[in-house]
Amino acid sequence: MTLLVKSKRHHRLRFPKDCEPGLPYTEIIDEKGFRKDNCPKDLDEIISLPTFERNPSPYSEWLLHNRNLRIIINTFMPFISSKVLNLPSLYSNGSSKEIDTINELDTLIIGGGSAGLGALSETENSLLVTMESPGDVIYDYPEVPGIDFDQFLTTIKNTIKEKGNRIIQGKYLGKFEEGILLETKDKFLLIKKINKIIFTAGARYIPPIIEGNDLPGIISRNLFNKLIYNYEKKLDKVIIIGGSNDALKSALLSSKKGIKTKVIYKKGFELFSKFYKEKAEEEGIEMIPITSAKLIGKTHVEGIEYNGFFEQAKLVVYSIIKQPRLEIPANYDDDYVFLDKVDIYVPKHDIYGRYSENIYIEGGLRGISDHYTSYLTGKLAADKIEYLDEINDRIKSEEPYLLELYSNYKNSTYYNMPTDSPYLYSEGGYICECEDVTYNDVASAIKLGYKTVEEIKRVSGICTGECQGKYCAYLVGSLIKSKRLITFRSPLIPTVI
Amino acid sequence: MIIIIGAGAHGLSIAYHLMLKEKDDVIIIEANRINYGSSSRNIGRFRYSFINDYNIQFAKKAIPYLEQVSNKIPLNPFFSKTGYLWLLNTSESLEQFKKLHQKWKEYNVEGYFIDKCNEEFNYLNYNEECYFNPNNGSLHHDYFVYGLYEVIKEKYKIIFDEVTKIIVNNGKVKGVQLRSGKTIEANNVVVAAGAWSPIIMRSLGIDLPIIPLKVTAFVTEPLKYMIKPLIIDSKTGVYYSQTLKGEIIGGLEENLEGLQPFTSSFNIIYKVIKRAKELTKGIAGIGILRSWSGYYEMTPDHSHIMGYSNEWPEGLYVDAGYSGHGFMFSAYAGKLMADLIVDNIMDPFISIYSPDRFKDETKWVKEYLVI
Repeated sequence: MTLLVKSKRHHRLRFPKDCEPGLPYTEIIDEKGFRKDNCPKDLDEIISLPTFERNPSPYSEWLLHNRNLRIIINTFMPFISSKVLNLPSLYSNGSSKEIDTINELDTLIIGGGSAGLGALSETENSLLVTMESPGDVIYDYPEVPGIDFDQFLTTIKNTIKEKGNRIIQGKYLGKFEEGILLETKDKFLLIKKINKIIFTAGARYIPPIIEGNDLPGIISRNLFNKLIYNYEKKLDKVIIIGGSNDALKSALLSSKKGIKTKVIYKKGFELFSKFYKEKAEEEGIEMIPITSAKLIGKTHVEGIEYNGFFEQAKLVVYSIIKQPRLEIPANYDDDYVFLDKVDIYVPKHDIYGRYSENIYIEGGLRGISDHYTSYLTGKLAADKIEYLDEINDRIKSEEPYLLELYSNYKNSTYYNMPTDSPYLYSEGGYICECEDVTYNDVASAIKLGYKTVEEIKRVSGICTGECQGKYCAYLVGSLIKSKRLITFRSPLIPTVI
Repeated sequence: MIIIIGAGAHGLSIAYHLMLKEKDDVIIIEANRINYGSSSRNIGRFRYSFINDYNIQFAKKAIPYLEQVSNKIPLNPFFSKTGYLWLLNTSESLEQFKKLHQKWKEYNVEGYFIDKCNEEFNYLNYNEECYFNPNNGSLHHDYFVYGLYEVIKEKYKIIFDEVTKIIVNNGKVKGVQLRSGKTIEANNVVVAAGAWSPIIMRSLGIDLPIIPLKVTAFVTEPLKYMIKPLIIDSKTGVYYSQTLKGEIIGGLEENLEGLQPFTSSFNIIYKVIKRAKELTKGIAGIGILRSWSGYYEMTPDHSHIMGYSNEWPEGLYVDAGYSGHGFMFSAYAGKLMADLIVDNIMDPFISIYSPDRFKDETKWVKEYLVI
């Protein structure tokens, strides 16, 4: 049963937006100090949230820097900290996991999505580590351009079955002085040397910057897809925000299940491909360009205001632009690029996915949304370059803006896109939910003249909370068009030793 | 024109004090970003508890001055006397602290012994002898450094580039050459580049005896604020505390010298957190949130280098090599350096901490309490 959690500084009740380990509010510590999974398993947990007392209003962190109040604030700061901050009193249940050292590994594949499985299918001496069950394609819309989806699904399932002995369920914790660290159910694995690393850790969706964005009732399309997988009831008044193909895919998936949705997206940021747009039109799914929006509700999302209208909403799902889980490769080696206009941060790689001689980046980590394209790129990492043309064609037809990463391909849609942030729907809400840093706080830091995410982090505290910047680093980067983000350090997820 | 090499706490403190003196021509050159080195990697502490008399005397000036500056700058570093707590769980430490306590009493910076430690610090599992000094404390590293930067940013430019050579002519400093090829003219150059200072000095054939020593540190998930002091475990050398945000912060140095890559040592993290969990109640299941590494900038006597050598070109200054106590001394060091460069004021500390002292071991400022 997912619980509403009081935020650390502002004591506002929050709900997890996505169920990825390490993301905000996906775990709670109860009064006895025990760790509990706080991920919703049923869509009803979100749409029938209990109403509660009005949330306290945010206060500005900048108050703590006031020079006139400084001596008083500093005298009482230890007291304030122990009484005001909403934090667990204890953490029970220690770990007795030992460290196993592996001297050398031939190939490590990080991530068990379509790309990871593609790589696994073509490599012999590889080990694949995945946090979740492999093959997340089962949760997505079962139609992919140019292929027989059922056949593709069978291929995926067969790969998992046949190569299952080389799939480890575990967490990739990052690079340390001694080597790469993984954590399984029973131990830590420290790998000293890896001959080839294939990063296929995928991508996530980042919540929009919109007034009311910390209210419970807004979730990521990834979580939404999982929750409707077994949902049998009728539902309406679901609003999907974003101009990506994945937004349409979630809408189409909903339609199949008798869930009525509407897609709204920021004008100028329409990235729908012909394939999905036509399908959406066939299903009667409205796709509405808007200039700004606000989430309305006292204690949870009750509706959304856009284009001058108020519309009731039981649930808001965001799917703005697919942002690679950059922390994972950047923690290993931090050469990455900022793709302007769509505002995504992507690890450096060539059309083969090659980062360097022994490091490959494939699938969602390249920004790719199409599952079959991802699967094929996994094969590229195994030097199966015969798939390159097909991959190029598919990217060109489904997500052409990504080709800007590789060549002088001039995509006119891309060049005509607006220059502001695709995430910015209104100048309000929270940027960092872990540390309760609001849009206004960040705007104050920007007004002081800071032009990098690192500097804004140092003066405002964003990215220093429990999720270590997995949302806010990208949001602020997009807001200020910063080419660099923060240093993503190990461990990549909170680790109990 | 004065060039400051390094935009960490020392470089920015020197700049801050030059600005108070209304100096116009100052340029700061930074190879990476503001507080890239130890200034962003330390765990934010200050102390009076040194072994060497000179360091105690320096602290008696530097710590109150640190508080003064902390109250002036536009960002609040949360300067707070949260204390240091030594667990005297070895016979050597017990002996050592009995002697130190006497010395510290002379300087009025003493703490006190506690027989059963967890009677006063009830979150500890340790119930034997410990020593608490309530004069020491903590502050926030970023807010201090960026607070200084806020004061000087309109007036002084920071050039983000690397100094490849200090240009000298006729025994006088003429400027610096940068990686980008640019040259900047100046008759005064201050090297405040922490662990990277020796590289810059080498371009002049000067051997600045600073050896970086790798330290790994980490923060955990946050819990209710309870551990105010910095706890130092004599038995293992491990030290840890809690930030005002609630994270447990801890660290330990490794036997690795030189400009090592900034990866964290998992073995160090493992050792420190396991020990902290042994010593403290209620944190058995706490997870590590983030780790990083940095350097202690070690000189032969573990005390800092400030001022200049008579053998150096005229106009060349240094302010670096503070082992594990650079951050806390930065406010006062900046003041002394600015006085020296602009008004030629030779505070007695300038000769005490001179780079020339290493030629004569009797002049060394030997410091054994490096934390």
